[in-house]
Amino acid sequence: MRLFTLPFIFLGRYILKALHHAGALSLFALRGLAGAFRPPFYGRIILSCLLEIGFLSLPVVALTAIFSGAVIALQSYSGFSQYHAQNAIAGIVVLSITRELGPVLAGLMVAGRIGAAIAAQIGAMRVTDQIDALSTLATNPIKYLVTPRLLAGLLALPFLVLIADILGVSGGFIVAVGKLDFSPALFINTAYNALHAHDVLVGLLKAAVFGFLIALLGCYEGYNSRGGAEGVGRAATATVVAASILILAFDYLLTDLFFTA
Amino acid sequence: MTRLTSPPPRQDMMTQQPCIRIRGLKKSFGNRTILNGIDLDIPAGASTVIIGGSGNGKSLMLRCILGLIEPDEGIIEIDGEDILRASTTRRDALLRRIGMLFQNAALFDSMSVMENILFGLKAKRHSRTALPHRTELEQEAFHLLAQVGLGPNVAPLNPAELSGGMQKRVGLARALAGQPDILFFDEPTTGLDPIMSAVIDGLISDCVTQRGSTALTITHDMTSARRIGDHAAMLYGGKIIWQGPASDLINSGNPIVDQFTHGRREGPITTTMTDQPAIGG
Repeated sequence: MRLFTLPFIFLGRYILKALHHAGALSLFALRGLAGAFRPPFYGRIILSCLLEIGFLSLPVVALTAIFSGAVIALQSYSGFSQYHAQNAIAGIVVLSITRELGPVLAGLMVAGRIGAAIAAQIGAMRVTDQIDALSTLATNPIKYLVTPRLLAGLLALPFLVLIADILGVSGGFIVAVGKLDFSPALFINTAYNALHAHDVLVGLLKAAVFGFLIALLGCYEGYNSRGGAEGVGRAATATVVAASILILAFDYLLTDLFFTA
Repeated sequence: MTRLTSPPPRQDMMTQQPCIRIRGLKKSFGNRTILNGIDLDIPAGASTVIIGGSGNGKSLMLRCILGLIEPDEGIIEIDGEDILRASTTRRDALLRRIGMLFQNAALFDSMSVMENILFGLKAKRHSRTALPHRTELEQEAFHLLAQVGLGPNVAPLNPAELSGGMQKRVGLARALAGQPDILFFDEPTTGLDPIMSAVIDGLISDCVTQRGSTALTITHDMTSARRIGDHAAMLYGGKIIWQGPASDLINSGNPIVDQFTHGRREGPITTTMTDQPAIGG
């Protein structure tokens, strides 16, 4: 009998734990966002986080976008040429970059680069009592550490994705024109006709959601890390894993919401 | 360097108005009870030392008073006001009166020494708009560094470039920046050589004698406890099992206190691993 019930006991515990974390994460997010509406405001820290998340992530996101655009052009050519539909390449490149690959790949890159860094930074502060020190110095640690990072994540990712969109399409353009003998005017014209403002805007909305999630998970895992250096390492790993999964899950939800009617 | 002074005259714990009054303080983690009904009075303008073994909840008690951890039960009063039941604004105002020196100094490692002290100077001002000019604040920071025996040359350094003793002195300067009238010290001499321990002890005593602060220190260091304490108490098994003048620590007449203060292996205190709670110091 016990053997039969054991899997359900484990499943139940796992679900309860997951629900507990979801609740705690939601409350943490609310506290972080509430900090944006009450003084004191830490403008200088927000700017520094924007620089770290946005500007310093630009090279890795740019390279990812260029190569993704180039690969899509190559792959779609080899597939579509069998049906004599090569002209659709420009549309495929521009739509897949703006709707999906721009936000998702930028999100995953930033999750690896910034999510882990935020978790490690705040986690190290937690295990060395620096967060408690903030409290004893009449400073709300959530407002000081979490709110600026949430705002920076929310604002920086759309900026990164806009650039990734431009560079990704450029990557596809370079391959199409330079390697596959497309006419530049035809590529630009087809891409322009295939693209709607809605595609870009939803891509940017996705980016904002992903940026928020990455910053939130980094802050949450770091803030709740325990157990010295090992705990900080665990927090960084958990952030990257959870952020990557949530980026893909939210990508599906947002795509379903905005692109299926 | 600030002059080291001898501890102030001993005062009877019962005759002084308590600055901090703790009653029935309890805190458990899961099925482990760490604090099991702490009753303690911390007299105003005097230095109180709490001793106790590792894992007995000394640091946890400090964190409960500071509002960093919420206790399960009990009363914590500062000058007669229960901070656990006060409004958030009132509680923040009461806690703003407390400065804290953490065991590892807890300096912000992304900031220089000067920025750490400026943070302390700015953070505890009620109104950010009324902040003095930065040059004025820097002068104040240099003055605080001098008070803890550090020259202006350490101001641009990062905490990682300082020795443990220097970090604690900077931590004390940062704690003093908010002009607190209550100071908490969490194992201030742990990991320091005897001379640096004496220096830190001297600074703690100065805070009480020269600034008139109320000091609460938790320590394992018996030399330090006798040097800085007016009053002492021992935490064991989640309760205060003894309290009295710090000068009586060595001859308390309590077998548990005697075993602890003389560092004997044999006695009523057992040190099996299962007795050690994971939280609290």
